[in-house]
Amino acid sequence: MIQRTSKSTKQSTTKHIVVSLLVGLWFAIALSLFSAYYFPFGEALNRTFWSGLAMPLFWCAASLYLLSRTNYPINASFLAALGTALIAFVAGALIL
Amino acid sequence: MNNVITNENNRSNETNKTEAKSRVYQNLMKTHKLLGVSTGLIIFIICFTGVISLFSSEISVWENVQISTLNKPADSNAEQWPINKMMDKAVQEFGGSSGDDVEVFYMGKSFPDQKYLSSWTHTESDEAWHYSYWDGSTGELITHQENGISEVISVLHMELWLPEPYGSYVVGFFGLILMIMSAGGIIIHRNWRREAKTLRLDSPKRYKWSDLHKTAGLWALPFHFLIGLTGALLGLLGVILILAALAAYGGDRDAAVAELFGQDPVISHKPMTAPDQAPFVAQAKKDMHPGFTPRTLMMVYPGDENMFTLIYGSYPNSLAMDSFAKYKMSDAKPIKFVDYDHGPSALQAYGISVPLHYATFGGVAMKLLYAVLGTITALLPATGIILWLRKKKKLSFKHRLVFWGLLGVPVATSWGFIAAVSSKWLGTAGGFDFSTTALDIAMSAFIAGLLFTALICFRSNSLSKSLRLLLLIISALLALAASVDILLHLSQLSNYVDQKVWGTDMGLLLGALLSYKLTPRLALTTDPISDESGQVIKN
Repeated sequence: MIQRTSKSTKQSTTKHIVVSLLVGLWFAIALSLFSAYYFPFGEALNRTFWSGLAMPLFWCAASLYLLSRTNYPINASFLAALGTALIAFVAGALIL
Repeated sequence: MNNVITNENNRSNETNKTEAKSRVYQNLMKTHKLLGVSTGLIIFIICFTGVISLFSSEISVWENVQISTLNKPADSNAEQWPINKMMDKAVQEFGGSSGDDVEVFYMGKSFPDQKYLSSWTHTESDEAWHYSYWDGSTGELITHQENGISEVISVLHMELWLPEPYGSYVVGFFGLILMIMSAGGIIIHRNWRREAKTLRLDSPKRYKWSDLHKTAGLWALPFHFLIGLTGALLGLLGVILILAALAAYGGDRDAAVAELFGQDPVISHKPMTAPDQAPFVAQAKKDMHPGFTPRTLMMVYPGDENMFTLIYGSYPNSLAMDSFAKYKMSDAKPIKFVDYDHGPSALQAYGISVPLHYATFGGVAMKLLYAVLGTITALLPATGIILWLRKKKKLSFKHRLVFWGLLGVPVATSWGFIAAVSSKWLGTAGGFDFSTTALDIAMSAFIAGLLFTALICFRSNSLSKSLRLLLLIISALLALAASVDILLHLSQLSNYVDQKVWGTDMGLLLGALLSYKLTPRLALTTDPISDESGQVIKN
């Protein structure tokens, strides 16, 4: 007996994955910038590299945590707001 | 009464905890499968090309007949290279009529015992890199031969043939997905101790693929994670560092750039005779820590008043990538020293991320170990995709597309090797000049291989049959490329042949043997076979 996954389940899982990766990225950037600015890693060069090196780890951990949960709202407006905030944040940082 | 209520509460709490745990596993399992199916193909392509790219330098020697038969003592150290002579010749060759099209001239050795120097000249007008090989003792040109299949595979691995820098970002993102999948995989496989010991390769059922997927994932887990992390860093660190530096330096972009890379002079368009390079090499040895051995030199804006140079080198028994000293050449003022061995702790950590990804430490033995582990990493998405394909009742366009993606790159690579060996020997024996077209020929053969695989995959009614046929084709083409190359080298007994040529030929024969040996194993499978109408017929 081959087990089939329904289309709606697949769609909601896809949304779940996309949101987990995006929110994970958002969290990782925020934590990375926070650590680059505040953490007592000595000189600015050290803070820059440590936070840069840690960023993929933050992203992985945050996304993995979110992938194991389902208790947050996932809909089109949530995704749109998240995407806009992320783009605005990165654009703002680059312009600065 | 109170005891009864407490016991019930405890039981209820335990049940809730168990349910919550179970939900976590279910969510992770569901997302692991879908994420794996949707990204597995790209991860497989990156891993497969990564394994071949480990030997990119060796393959580039193999596919160049002049370099692979060059018989002379190894070149001296960097201070004695007639670098200005070689740079002037490269500028004359590639710099256009006015000679100012060359932006960067980069020269060095890939191996310590190398008998020649390799150079890369970057021209501004077409944003291209031009390869040349030089006699490091006389400064005479050996050949301007472009790399072929080694370049095609390397670019596919690093950029997926997407425009720079977006290609690197995409590859970096997939490195992150590999990290997530590896970490998620170990969480969802709760019985990993038992699963790690179960490998039923002769099983006629789907257990074979499932066991292979789990054991490959478990036994090389630290390697999967390490390659994912270092890959993500290599692809994404450019963006991440700029963001982090902006935060660390309080938004002062100039201070951040100066601290990270040094403030480079900009091109002035005022001509200047390039000063002798040798004193800068000697100066770098003094300015860096004792033991610093220069092995690659870079000149930026050659012939311009604001020309500057970077002296790259390494320290003995060091794991870190090459450190460098940067000088402005007109006034010999240092611009920046970056020392990955003796710098701040974070810089040292960053300095080992590149060698850890490319296995540039530990010699050939380490490369071979990485090749085995990298093949296991490539097996993960491949077996995952086969598991997914096996569950399908009929072969839709999407499934054929995925199947094509899985087999297309290995088949196309074997076509690329045939093209490489053809252009290598036709250039010598037939008098054709492939020095500037080797890359185009390899690329054309690679694309032809992809189209050929598409033809097989989209016309076939059986995945098993197609898989077996394509594996046999890979085996035959690799064996043919290696045999022709070995025979032609042996026919010129008087000529010296570089060891890397024999090594690459042996690697190709091993690849052919593995593909051939895999074929009967795959014949045992009971993959779904669809007839014309798409209905499943079990074999």
